[in-house]
Amino acid sequence: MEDPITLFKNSIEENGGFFKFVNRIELINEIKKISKGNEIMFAGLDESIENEIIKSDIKSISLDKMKDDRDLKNKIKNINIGITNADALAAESGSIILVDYNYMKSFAAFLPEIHIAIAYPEKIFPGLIEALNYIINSMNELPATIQIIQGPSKTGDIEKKIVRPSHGPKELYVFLIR
Amino acid sequence: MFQDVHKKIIISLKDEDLRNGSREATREEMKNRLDAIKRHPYAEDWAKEIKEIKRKLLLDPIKSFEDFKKSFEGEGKYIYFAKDGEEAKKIILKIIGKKSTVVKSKSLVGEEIELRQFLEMNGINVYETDLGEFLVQLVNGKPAHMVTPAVNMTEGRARNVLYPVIKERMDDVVSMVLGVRGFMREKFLSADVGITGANALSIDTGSIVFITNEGNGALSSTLPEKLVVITSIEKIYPSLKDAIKASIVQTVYAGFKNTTYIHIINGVPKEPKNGPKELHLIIVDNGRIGDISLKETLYCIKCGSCQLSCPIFREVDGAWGEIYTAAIGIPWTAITGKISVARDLSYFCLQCGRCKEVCPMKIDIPNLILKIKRERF
Repeated sequence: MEDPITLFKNSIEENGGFFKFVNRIELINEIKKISKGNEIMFAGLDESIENEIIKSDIKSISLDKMKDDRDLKNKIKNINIGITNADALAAESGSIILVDYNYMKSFAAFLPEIHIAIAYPEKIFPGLIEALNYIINSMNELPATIQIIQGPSKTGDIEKKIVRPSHGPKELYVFLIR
Repeated sequence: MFQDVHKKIIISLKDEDLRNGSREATREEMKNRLDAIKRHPYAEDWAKEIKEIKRKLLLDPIKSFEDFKKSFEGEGKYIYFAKDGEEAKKIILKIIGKKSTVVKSKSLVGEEIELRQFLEMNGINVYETDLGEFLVQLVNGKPAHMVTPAVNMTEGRARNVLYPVIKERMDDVVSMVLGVRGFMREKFLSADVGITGANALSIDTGSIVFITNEGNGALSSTLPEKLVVITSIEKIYPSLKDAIKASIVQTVYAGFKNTTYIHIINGVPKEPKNGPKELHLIIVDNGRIGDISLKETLYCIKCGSCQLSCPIFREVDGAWGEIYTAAIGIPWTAITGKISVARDLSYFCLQCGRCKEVCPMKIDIPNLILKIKRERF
């Protein structure tokens, strides 16, 4: 039996995503590499990671701070990189679970061309059902939505040929923090 | 009339382009399904579990609805029971109001009651955001298959259909998909209402579960201020876990190794400034509860594996049927449409039994079709 981290890596890569096991310094460097000087938006991150992004020279905005802005979607529609935490991961299916109370994580995960999810090893569960059990048991109240993401967006609607991206991101990265 | 079905099938058989599209898309259906099951070996057990759960719940669907309703209700959330398509459409029109723009994700129940056509007739701008459905909308046609509606469209035909709206050179499927992405993005951002179907509902958490690959469901359920979900009564499950399992079984048997998004909608945010402020859920009966003799049909999770494995469907695809086509589509037509139409269709079944073999719910589809043919209800 493979360990959950390797299993998750294999699953998400099979689904068309990228995976890397990094420390915090490497994480910031990876984000820099991906963003290439472009602005990023983030939602639901740990305070410590948020601070490191803000401290770095990465141009960034916090959706959590803008959640009451009624014109938010127009302000962020051209930002092409979104970063969220992952509230749980499922190894077998390569699933990223986002618990979203105010749609900020959904915006960061669905609107841009690139979605980066940041997770910790203790949030990896063998299967999707176990991961969901953990999520449901750890919540005091149900969030507006729970999003399960298992790869970059795709369509097979023309002659069943699989093409990426469709309406969602074309690239999906999962960084697991050591 | 039987003759009309026959005529439609003959015309379809003479359309080489359409036959090639259909054959190409169904050629590897068995391999795709077996690969997907291999990737998700638990899906076979889950399918058995789901069938047993459905058997119990369908003994009293009204009670399931009442139980679900109790746990669903909350601030900003509205639930409706519609006995038929007419009622459902009236409810939806009232919710969204005239002069609005709607971004719509796939809903088979929406197709069943011809929701888009109805909204368009009432002056509402509706955009089908699923690529297959968008192609079907542009040709003003009907979906040929439950999961891949434009299964019968070749690349060349799709390009010709898209060109008048995308107005860009599209050399391959990638550029066609990108063209649609750009066109649709504006609509997602400016739409007043999002409409989507649901794969499953769960009583324990009062949740709505739906799956998409394209991310169209992600955008249409999070950007507009109003979210309208339309589904049917047999999609209610006791727990969120069951609802997720049923959704995954559906995609695996549809032949997908991996489905990109599973969305679970529980409600609207407190004091919402962004995202949906209102969530409206319409649960349609449309002949499902009353029918006793074809009740087995309601086990169907609409994966479409029976259609893809049907030798008639492979040759004529959407021509064998109206809204629901081929195999389980025949009993679905009997339940949600007219029994006389279903009877005309039933004569073309070969009784080969492949559909029954591939069905994850092991529905005896040939027997249901025989019942329709003999009209023993």
